[in-house]
Amino acid sequence: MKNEKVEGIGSVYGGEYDTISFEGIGKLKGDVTAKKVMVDGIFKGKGKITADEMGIDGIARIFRDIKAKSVKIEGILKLRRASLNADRVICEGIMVANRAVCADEIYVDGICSVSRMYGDNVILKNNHDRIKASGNFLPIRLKPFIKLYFGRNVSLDYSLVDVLECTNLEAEGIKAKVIRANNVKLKNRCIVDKLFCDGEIFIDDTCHVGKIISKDQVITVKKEMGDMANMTLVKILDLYKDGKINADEAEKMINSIKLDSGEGYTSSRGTSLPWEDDGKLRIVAYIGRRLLKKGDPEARSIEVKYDSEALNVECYGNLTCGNVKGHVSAGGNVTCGDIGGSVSTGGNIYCKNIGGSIAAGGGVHIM
Amino acid sequence: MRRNLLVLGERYIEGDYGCIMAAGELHVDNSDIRSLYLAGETSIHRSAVHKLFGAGEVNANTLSFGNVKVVGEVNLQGFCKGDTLTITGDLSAEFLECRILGSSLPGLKGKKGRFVWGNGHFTWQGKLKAVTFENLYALDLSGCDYEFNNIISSGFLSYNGEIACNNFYSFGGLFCEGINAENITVIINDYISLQSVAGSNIRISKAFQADRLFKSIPKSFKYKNFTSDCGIVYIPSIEGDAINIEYTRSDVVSGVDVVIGDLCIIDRVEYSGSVVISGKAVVNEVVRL
Repeated sequence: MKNEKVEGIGSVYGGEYDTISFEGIGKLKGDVTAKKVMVDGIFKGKGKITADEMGIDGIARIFRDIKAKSVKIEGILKLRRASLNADRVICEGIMVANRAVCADEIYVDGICSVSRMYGDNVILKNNHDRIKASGNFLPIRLKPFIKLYFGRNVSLDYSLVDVLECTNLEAEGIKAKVIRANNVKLKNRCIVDKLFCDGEIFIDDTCHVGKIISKDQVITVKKEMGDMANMTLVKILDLYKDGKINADEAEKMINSIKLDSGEGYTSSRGTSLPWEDDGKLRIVAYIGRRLLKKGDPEARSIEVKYDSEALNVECYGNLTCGNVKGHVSAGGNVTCGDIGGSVSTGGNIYCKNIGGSIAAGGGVHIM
Repeated sequence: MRRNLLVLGERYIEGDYGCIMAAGELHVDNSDIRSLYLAGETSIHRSAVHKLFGAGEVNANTLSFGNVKVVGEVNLQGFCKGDTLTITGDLSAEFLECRILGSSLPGLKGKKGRFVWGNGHFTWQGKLKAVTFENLYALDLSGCDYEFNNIISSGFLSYNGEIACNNFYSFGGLFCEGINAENITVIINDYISLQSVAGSNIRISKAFQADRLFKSIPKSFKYKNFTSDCGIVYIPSIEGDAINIEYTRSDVVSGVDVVIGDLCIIDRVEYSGSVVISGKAVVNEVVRL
C-alpha cells in the first residue's frame, strides 16, 4: 500500500493508504482507510477516516466520522458533525466533539468538550497547566471566539461532557449534565447534574452532584477525602453496613474520630460569638462552654478590673477601671475615675466626675 | 507485759505498749506499739508501730510500721519503712519504703472494684519505694520520686512524665505522657490521656479478668473482674512484643505478635511475627517488618 505525506500545503484524496502524514497544511477530500494517520500541522478532514492508529499533534478539524483502533491527541482535535469511534482514545491536548466519542478506553489528561461520550473505562483529568506548558493553550483574548470556532463551549477549568455513559468512570474537574456509569469516582471540583450509578460511587467533598439515581435504589455514596480520618470513617460505615458492628459500636468509633479531629469540641476560633469583629476589647466569662451573658446570675458576681482609659464600658458584673471617655453601663457596682458620658448601673457608683446622666440602683458617691 | 492505753487529750508516751486508743494529741517517742487507734494529731519519733488505724494528721520521724491506714495527712521524716501503708489524703515523705503503698481505703472503693469519683485529688510528695502501689482515688504523683515494682490504679492517676514499672494495671483514669512497663494492662476508660505505651506484654481491653500474674502481685484490696462501658481510648503510639488491644484508636501499633481486637481504629499496624485483626476493627495499613 502507498504512503501519503504532505509537508507543505496539499490535499489527500480518498483511498487506501499505509501511512498518511500531514506536516504542513493538509486536507482530506475523501474517505480513507489507512494503517496510520499522523497530523502534525493543520489538517481538515472532509472524508471518513478509518485507521489503526491516528496521532494528532497539530490542529485537526474533522467533519466526517473517525474509526480507529487507537487515537492519540496531543494537539487539538475538533470534530464537527462527526463522531469518533475507537478502541482507545488518549487525549493530552484538546478534544472537542459535538457528537459522540466512543471508545473502550478513554483517557483525557487535557481539555475536552464532548457532547456524548461512551466508553468502558473512562478517565478524565483536567490538567490545563499541562496544556499551557505545551504551548497549545487557548489564549484568553480569544475566549469569545472559542465557541464560534469549536461549536461548543470549551473550558480550561473543566472537562465538559453533556452525556457520559461508561462502565467505570474516574473524573477530575468534569462538568457533566448526565453521567451513567457502573462505578464512579469523582474528584476535584466535579459538577454533575444527574448521576445514574448502580455500583460504587466515590465523591470528593469538592464535587457537587445534583441527583444520584440508582436502578436498584441501593446507593452507596462514599466520600473519598484527603485525610485519613475520613477514610477511617468510610471503613467504619462499611463495617456497619456489612453488619459487623452495630449502631452503638459504630457511634463509639465515629465519636472517637470526631473527638480527635476537634469536632464535638468547640474551639474558641470556631465559636460563633454574638458580636462582630469590631476591634473592641471584650472581657468575657464562660462556664464550661457557655458564654455568660447579661442577666445571668453568675455574671453578677464577676468583677472586672481594667487599668487604662476606655471609651465606652459595658460590664455585666462589677466594674473597676480608670477614666472612661464615653458611657458606662454595669450590672453591679462601678468604681472608676472620670466618666465623660452617662452612667447606668444596677449597684453603687464610686467615681470622680460624671459628665452625663446617672441611673443607679444604689448610691452615687462622687469623690 | 505490754500496757494498753486510752488517751483523751494531749499525751506524751514512751516505751512498749499493747493497744493504744487515742483521741486528741498524742506524742510517741522511742516506743514499740502493737496497735494504735488514733483520732487527732499524732507525732511518732523513732518508734515501731505494728498496726495503726488513724484519722487526722500523722507526723512521723524514723518510723517502722506494719499495717498503717490513715485518713488524713501524713508527713514522714527520715527513713520510714514498713509493710503496708494506706493513706486517704496527702502524703509527704522524705524516704518511704514499704511493701504495699495505697492511696485510699477500701471503703471508698466502688462496686466491682471500680472507682468512685469524688471531689479533689491527693498530692503525694517525696521519695517513695514500694513493691506494689495501689491507687484508688484521684492522685497526682508528679511530685514524687517513686520506685514501684507494680502499679495498680483503680482511680485517677496523674503524673507529669512517663510512668515506669514492671507490672502496670490501670482500671481507671490515667493522665501521663506514657507508660513503660514489662506487663501493661489498661482497661479502657474515658479519662485516659497518654501519648505512648511501651512494654513487652500490652493488653488494652474492655473487660478485666485477673490473670495469674495479677493474682501473684501483693496487694491489699480485692479486685473483682469487671467490664468497662466506656468508649474508645486514644493512644497515639503502642509498641511492644505481644500486643492485644481492643476498643483502642491509635496511630501506630508496632509489635511482634499483634492482636487487633474489636472496635479498634488503627492507622498503621507494624508486626514482625503474627497479626490478627478483628472483623470489627478498622486498620488502614498493615506492614510486616
